[in-house]
Amino acid sequence: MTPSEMLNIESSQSTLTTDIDITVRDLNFYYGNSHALKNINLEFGKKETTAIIGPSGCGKSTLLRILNRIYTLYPGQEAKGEIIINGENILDPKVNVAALRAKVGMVFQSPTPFPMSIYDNIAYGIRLYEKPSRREMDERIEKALRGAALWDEVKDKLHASGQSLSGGQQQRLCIARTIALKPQVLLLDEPTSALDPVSTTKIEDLLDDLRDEYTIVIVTHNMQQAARVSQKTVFMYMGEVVEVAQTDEMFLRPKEERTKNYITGRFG
Amino acid sequence: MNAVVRRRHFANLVSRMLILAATLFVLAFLVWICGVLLYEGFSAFKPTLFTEMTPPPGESGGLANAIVGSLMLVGVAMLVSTPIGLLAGTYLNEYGKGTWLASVVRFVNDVLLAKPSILAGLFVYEIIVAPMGGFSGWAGSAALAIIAIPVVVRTTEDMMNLVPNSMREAAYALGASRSRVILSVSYRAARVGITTGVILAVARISGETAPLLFTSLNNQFWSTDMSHSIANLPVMIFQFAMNPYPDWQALAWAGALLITLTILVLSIISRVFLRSANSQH
Repeated sequence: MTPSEMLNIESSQSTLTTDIDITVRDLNFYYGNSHALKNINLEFGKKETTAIIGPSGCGKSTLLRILNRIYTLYPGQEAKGEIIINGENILDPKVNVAALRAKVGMVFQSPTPFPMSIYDNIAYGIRLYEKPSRREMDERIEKALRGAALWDEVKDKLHASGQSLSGGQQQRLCIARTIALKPQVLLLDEPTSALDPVSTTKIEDLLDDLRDEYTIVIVTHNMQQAARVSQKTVFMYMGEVVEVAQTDEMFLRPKEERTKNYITGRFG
Repeated sequence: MNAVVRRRHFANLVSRMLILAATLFVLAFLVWICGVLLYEGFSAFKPTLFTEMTPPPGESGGLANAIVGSLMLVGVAMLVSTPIGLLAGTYLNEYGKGTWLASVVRFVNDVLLAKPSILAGLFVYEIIVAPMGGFSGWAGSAALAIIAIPVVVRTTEDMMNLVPNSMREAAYALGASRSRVILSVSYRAARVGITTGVILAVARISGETAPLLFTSLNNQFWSTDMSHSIANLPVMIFQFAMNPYPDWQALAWAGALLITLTILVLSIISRVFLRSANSQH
């Protein structure tokens, strides 16, 4: 069964689309007693890259971590409101989290290859849902590595440890591992903040290529990066969404005073 | 040089001398102990140690029954304590984090880790030896297991704690279940450290004497019957070393050397293991 079948949803091509992939409605989030996100209302466009920017502690990573419900790993964290993906409120406790996470993949700040070979790193996720034949698995892995622009660098050492790669390669391996599950949404939590400039450029180029196939939400501290990779930008401050706009619009003509102050470097 | 700098130089010199003296003092005793052990042990070392039984006074013999007995006692103890320690350590790090139960278990485990080992012997004497009406190999293994479990629990928890949480989150983010994350990511990442912990536990219990005095006792004869008293190296050393017969004393030295070498080899193996694990990152 493919993940989309498990979620019992129609594939994205066949729906009569609005252009909206994820709708966030009246979202509030609490770490224990602290009210971390306040009345968030947002829409993420299908096959569009949305950047979330804002100073440290503004709640941008928190928001990202709600979209695949990874926050539920930790007790005392609670989300209220609705997040609609493919017509389903993913905050509903009845939602199959594994199927959700196959649909909504996530890449973290520091590269997290598993302690196994490059091949097995990617096969790991696939094997959670399917039992493809050896040949099919080989093809899936090649496709994922090509998709993450890593194939040419690792094709001769697929059975070397994933942890032997450079930081930038490791991060692309993590992206390959995520897209091997054929997700609909890619969440990236500051994916280049632990990387050198050359690796960062490679990841940004990759994100440009991936844009046509996935709905991408990227949290970043780096405003140039937001400007380079995204079509839409969300500015958050103190747990609230201050401004949402087309990226060039936001950086050229911010409407809100706080946005302007942040992107001109007056705080944050 | 001004006065302040001169004074600092002097203070540095004095403290260096003190540190050096303390180090040499400690090392001198270590070298002394090892030197005597090597000299006495190797003079008594002969191939028949591994083939002949412990002898009556005045006759020649070996340590075969004690070596096999020790291997059995330690082997059974580790078969019991490895799974228990592994599971308890896993609970502490993967499930119990921040819970009341885990803090209590961790505290009790630390107390057990530091307890005098003779308590394990007395405890097992009370609950196994006395009711069963006699010393036995099983009781000896039980006492050794009680000493080994806290070691395995502690190292398992520590080693799993070193696995970056981001790696677990990455597996969860692919949709893996908790048991899957533990089995295929946490254990995998921590396997070298956990193995090292088990090896260190073996090293720890293979020289324990006090807990065996009350449990397995000793046996002059060949026996592999765990339900009766069974020969073992530490108690053999204890008994033979305290006797006036030179043959027995020589055997005790040979046994002491054997245990020391075993622990040395185990420690080296665990270090090599750890180093190879660290070089992967």
